[in-house]
Amino acid sequence: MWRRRLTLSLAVPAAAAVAVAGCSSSSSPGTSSSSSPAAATSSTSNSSLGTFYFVSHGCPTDPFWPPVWNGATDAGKRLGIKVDILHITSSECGSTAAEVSLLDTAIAAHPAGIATTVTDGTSFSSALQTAAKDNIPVVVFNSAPTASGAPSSANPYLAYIGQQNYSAGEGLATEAAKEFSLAKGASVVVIDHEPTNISLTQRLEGVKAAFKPMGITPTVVNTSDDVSSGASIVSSYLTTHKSLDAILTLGTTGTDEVAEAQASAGTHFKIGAMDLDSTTLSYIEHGTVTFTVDQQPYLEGYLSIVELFLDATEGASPVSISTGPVFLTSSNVKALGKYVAHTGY
Amino acid sequence: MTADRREPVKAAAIATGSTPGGPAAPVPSGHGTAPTSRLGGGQLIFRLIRQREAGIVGVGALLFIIFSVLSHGDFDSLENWGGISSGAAELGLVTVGVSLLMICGEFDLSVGANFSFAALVMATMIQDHYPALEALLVDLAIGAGIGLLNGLVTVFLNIPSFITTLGTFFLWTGVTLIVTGGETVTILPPAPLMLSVLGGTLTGQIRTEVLWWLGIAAVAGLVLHRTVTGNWFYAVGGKRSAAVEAGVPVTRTRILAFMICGVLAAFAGAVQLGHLGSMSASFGTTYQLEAIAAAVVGGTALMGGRGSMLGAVVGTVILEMLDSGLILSGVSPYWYESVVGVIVILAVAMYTGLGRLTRGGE
Repeated sequence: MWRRRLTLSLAVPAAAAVAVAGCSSSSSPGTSSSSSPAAATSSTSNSSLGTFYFVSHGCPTDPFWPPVWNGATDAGKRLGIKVDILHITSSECGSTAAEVSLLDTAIAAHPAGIATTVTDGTSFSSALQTAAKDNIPVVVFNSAPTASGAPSSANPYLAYIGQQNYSAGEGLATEAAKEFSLAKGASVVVIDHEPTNISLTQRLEGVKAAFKPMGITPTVVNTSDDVSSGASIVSSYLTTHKSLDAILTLGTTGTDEVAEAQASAGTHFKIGAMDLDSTTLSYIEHGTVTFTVDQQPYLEGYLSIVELFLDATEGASPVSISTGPVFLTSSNVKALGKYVAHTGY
Repeated sequence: MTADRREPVKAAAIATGSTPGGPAAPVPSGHGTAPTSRLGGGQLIFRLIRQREAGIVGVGALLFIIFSVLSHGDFDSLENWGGISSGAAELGLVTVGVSLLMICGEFDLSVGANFSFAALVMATMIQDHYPALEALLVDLAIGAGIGLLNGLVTVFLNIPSFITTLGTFFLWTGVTLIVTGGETVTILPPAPLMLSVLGGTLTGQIRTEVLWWLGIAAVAGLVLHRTVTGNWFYAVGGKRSAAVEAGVPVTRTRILAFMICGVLAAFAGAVQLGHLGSMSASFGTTYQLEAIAAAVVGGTALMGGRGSMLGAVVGTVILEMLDSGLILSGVSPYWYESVVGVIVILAVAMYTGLGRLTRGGE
């Protein structure tokens, strides 16, 4: 039904807006990295389209998420549409029911489109099916119910915009093998700072699978999403395992823990990381960390909104987009400075 | 323990008397009807205001109207209330138990950990093809056991329940992580019928869990307001020395309250498992504080002796309404927590004010 509301007069300026946004996305000074991800109600030249909701499980205190929210907010501003960022409160971190409830509310508003994360295979099914029944376009970003990101009849949606965690894990292992010249039987440790998180589990599976044909069996050390307690776990491990060939992390929290533990141990280890924030960036610049695997969270937010917009205005079918893995080392990370500052890493 | 059974009627009378003129004195109890005949016309109004819930029902209705208007009809749609009522049922079941316990003058901060742990065991059992009913019974038994432990430690080691349950909150959160390795347990379709009975779709967007919640709240309300045991709850949470003198089985009542609270937290976990089909160690984390907030908004006194099930239900609905209402009214959900904070304080201020007013009027 929502498609019928659209007219050509809307579609033409919309297309122009996209063209402009497309050309200027890398150089636009229009937005600041400190812009609040909430209340993204900026210029609304296409406001007659209605609201686009952007739902995520991101904890407001987790530094990973601002670039995602900024991406969605920036896309909304440039396209002149109303994008509302919905996220759980800090007391609800980790509660899937809280995110599902946000999604239910977004659906009840009969919006122009919804972008959401889907963190497991069953919790979102009912909401996604209702949205499909109500003809509300839904794209999924960052976390999909399957490792491949593909939708199903139980979890219907139009496209997945994000990194496939499994292939990111494979990338982490292959890049580590190349950068650190890992040979058969090399002693590699993987730090899992959030064993409850399915995305990290998928990454870990990818790491193990890529190492297997090389004859490397990594040891997994489960830590904590609290950096100081996680760092002390890593420290204890490092005091008894001084001759490691490589330490790999599965996210920025784990990277912080390893960096802190290494500093207190006073020994230099070869570290390969996953994800990017300003701290990881400085680790790479200073050589603490050799490389990181970036999933480009800003793009996850930005492209989700662009796809929903084009669907609403042009009837274009959203397609799945891999936003990573992108490998960042000291040789290419400097060029990223501007992008990083802009996107709010 | 034989002394405990002595003169329950007298105990009930003490229970009522222990909150003289208090707005939530369990007047509806069959034992406390005598004062009615003394009420004059003006006093009748006070009697109405005395129902602490009257004010909060009014606040709830006001919020409903405001949100409905601001959202141009999206808020009061059946579809939206499907989502609100599911969230309310899960929080509400926990709140019923927490309110009962708070009426007894005790806290339970371990409800969230209990919720996740019990439901995770249940989910794992279903995944391993145990009969779903068996899994549910294990879930409830775990809840009762956790409640019993909270009660025994609090009563016999004479530790404030705030501290006891803070400890058991960490204990069970840790155990959950050790047992599951922190992974989310998902029951892929076809799920057993039991899960649909607990939290499946009833009609449209409304789920069966709403019936469980309201049914259990109603039963708890009846027990609380119409039975001797119910009066014991108020008596224990009121003036405890008076309750002891009157022969109220204080120890047994306190432990019973902890166990009911534990069972209901575990049952809420089972119901959410029925709703979502998955469970993880982190799913219950929000409940300990939200349940206390909902109970307080609903008129349960922090120090015990006052409260009702109607209040517990209305308090829960108000908290659940806020999130969705703010979003559909176009307000940033960043405001949610701040608004909850303000409402909790305003609610308590209102009850305190009403308490003074009614006492002054008598």
